[in-house]
Amino acid sequence: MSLPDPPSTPPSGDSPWQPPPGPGWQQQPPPGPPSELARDAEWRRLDLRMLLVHPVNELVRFFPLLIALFLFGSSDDGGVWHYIGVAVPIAIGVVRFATTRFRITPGQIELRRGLLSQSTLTAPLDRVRTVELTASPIHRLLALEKVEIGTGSAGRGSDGRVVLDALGAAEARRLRHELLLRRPGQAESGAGAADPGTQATPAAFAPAPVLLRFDPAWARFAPLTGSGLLIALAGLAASGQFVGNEIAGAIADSGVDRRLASIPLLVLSRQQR
Amino acid sequence: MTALREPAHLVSPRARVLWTLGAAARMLLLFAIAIPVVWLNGLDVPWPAWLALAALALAYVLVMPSYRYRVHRWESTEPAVYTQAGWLSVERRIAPMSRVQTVDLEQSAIGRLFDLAAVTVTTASAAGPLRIEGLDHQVALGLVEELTRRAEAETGDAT
Repeated sequence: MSLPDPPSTPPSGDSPWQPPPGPGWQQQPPPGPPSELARDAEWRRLDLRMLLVHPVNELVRFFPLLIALFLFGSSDDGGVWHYIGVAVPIAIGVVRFATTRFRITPGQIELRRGLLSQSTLTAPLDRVRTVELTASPIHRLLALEKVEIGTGSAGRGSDGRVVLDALGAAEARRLRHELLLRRPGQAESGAGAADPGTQATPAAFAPAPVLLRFDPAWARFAPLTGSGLLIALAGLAASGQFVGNEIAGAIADSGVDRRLASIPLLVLSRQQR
Repeated sequence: MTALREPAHLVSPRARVLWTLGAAARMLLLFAIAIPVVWLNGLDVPWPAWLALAALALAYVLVMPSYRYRVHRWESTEPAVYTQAGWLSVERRIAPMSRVQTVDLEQSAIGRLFDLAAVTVTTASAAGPLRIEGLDHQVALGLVEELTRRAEAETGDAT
């Protein structure tokens, strides 16, 4: 991906989201990592670290079966089955890694999956609407991020969703930036045809502006919600019951109740007069 | 007013074999469940009923695939992709090329034995994706290539 010369003045406009002009804004890409969209036509695998993640995921998925195997298979020759029970999920994880490939050509993204039943998913880059990065704890431990590329397709479930599980965190973020900041029609028109007036692709990744940070003081508004109120009332009721029981016990211990028992009689007798 | 014509192309003749196998497997499963259930509950089903059920199942396995083969059709032209599918109820769907979101080529494990593939074209429509089953693998590859080339030529996010 080669970009045209940056315009001499940053695009004018009163959008509050514009990063401040400064070093790194609208310059040629830094010479460091190559563009994720530029690695044409070569099939790539997911990050090699997924060799650690997939087998663990499969083991977790097979966990109930493994429990059963280890509980009931511990007779004479159960040892072999224990090994098989662990080896099969690991093998499935390795095969999953080995059979998943993707590539990003100038115009589209392709994802291939499967050993026995195979599928090739193709989506034009113009259709990309959302790019979602997620990382489970095990992903975070290995500095990986899962990239889900959503198009406008109304498919059910995973239909028409390109899921790259997973790429290295830096690579995933670069890919996200480049997919989202790509100019429409770039593939056909080439770099020269881009209109400088509408050019809005920062080559360097300007850090996203922080919209809002969590403030612990917000916690005091929590009881104002319906569920918060309900929980507060439940807590009040529970503590009330507990305190009430304590008081009742204390009264019973002190013997006040027996002395008080005569008072209503007195009151009644006065009223009768 | 001219009536809507059928899509131009039939699917691969080998798709009939695949559908027959699928139908036979479903019917075997049906009997594999029905017979123990009836036997365990001690129900007294008269033998003509069994005979009728078996005849229906056999007719389904023998007739459905060739009938389905005549219904399933597809066509991909410059402006749109057009499919017709079904058996008892027939559905025709047309998706403009400018609305194509993703193109998915799938080969099931059994489909690979017969060199068959399925192409799924998703759009932003709430009616779900268009699916063409039982295509010859080479034809499917050509169709995917054509669809992606045409979809890519249409810029924008296609919604």
